[in-house]
Amino acid sequence: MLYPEPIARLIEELTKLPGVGPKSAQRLAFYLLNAPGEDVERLLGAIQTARERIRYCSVCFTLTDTDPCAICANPDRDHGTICVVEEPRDVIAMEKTREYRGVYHVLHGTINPMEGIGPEELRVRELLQRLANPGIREVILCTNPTTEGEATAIYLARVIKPLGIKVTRIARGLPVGGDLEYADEVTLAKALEGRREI
Amino acid sequence: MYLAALRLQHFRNYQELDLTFSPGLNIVYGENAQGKTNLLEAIYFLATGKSHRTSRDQELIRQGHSELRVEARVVRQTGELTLALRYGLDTRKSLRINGIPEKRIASLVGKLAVVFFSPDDLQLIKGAPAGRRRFLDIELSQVSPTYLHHLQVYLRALQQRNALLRQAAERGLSPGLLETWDEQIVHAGAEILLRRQAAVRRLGALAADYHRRLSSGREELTLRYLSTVGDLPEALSQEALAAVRDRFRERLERLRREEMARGTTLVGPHRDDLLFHINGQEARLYASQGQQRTAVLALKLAEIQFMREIIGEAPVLLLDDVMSELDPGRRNYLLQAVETGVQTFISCTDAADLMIRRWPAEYRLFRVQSGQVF
Repeated sequence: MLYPEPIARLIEELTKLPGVGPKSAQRLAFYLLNAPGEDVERLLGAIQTARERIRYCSVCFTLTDTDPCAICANPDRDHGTICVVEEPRDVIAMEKTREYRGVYHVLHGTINPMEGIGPEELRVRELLQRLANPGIREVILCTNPTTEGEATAIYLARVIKPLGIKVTRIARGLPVGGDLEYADEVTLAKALEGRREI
Repeated sequence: MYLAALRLQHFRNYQELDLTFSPGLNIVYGENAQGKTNLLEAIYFLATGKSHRTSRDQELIRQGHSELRVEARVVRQTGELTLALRYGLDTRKSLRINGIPEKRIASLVGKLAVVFFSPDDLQLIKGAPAGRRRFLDIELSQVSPTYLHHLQVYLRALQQRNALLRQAAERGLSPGLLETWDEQIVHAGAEILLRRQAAVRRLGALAADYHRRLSSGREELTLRYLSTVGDLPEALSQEALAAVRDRFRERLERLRREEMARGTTLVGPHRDDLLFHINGQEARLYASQGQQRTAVLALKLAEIQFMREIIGEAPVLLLDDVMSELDPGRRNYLLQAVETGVQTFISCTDAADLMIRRWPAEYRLFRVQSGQVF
């Protein structure tokens, strides 16, 4: 049996969400249809408010409801150190450490020729403009350790180094509290490669 | 190591299947198109995360169903291991080892080491170089997760680099962009090259030994890894890796113009080949079909020994319909492997056809009929 048109359309729209397949979409659709009216109103309101109030920070391009964002506007942060990440969610991950005191720059992706994404499609030009400020001392490249993330880091290092700014790449290695015995061979090999003198 | 138990759900023509195996010989027999190869394919799938006959995983799911499961209990010297692989039309592959979810499917490779031998392998020498590279990659990935990692990085970076080269042919190239990929290609590539070279040297020595015995000392088989990057150093040291990286980089720089014109990467492990010589003559061109069969059989036996040397225990041998392709002499020679502690699965249409001189102490027979096993 086919679903009545409004349900079918709801399922179809939900299927477009990342990580949602046809079966999950169906479950979500029935949940929404059976949920109390005010719950659905609240969800709709939350989506709408987020859509209206959230934009990109004009300095670092993370998601924010103020411009510049709270981090860029904070005078206590070290504005001479910029951590370059792929996505706004990476900023959240870094902030959770409460260890990093510098500022960020969000690229919004990685270099990916197969998908037609080059440096021009990312916030690379804006990063280079920020680096014109003589107060910048270090750029930390925190793209993911994927092939594309690595390529993006290599590219940025090649472009930034001639400017005379220190460029570093986030280390990769063993998880804290982990046993050597249980680490997979590849992680272990990389950790060995990135060893340092103590 | 051996495969103690296997459970299939919605795999190819199997609805549900629950089997336990002998640590020695397991003979899977039945008419054609009943599911013998599917059973061996399931074991291979669990060993490598891939099928040996299709690159489209959807084909593995039983018609009318949306998800397949393959589970196994593997007994290794270090203890028992349960592997569970799920794959659905809607979902990506998911893997549990001893009940614990694994993030990377690649973690599966090598947990159950296999040597697979099917009639297709008899084309290994005559066929395209891609088949010989695949042989080396599967062999090395099973004994070294590090090799598999470098291979995955290499192939991904290669795809990206080729995409960039194609775009460059149309719209030109921003400066420095190609070098971004070269860096990873050269790093992962050097690791792959030296590991392949070392493996070919050891495999070659082992295979030569078997071939000599199979040909009653008349023939000398030699294996050689032929790289588009040039001659390779013998050792796998940091210095050797650095030297290979330099040579690789140099080759890429020299070919840049041509690569941009053709829109593809022209040198590297993805263009290399494995050469077989018999008594100094290239087997692909000059060896008879019988000689080629002997060479492939010698190579498969060498593979078992090679894996045993590296991982410290014997892999599982899967012989898919290959017995009927070998004469009684070669067949018996192959079956001796079973007697030396290698768990073996043989599929054939008639168990009596095996003509084993004497049955090994431990064996089990499985009759396959339309997706059921008796």
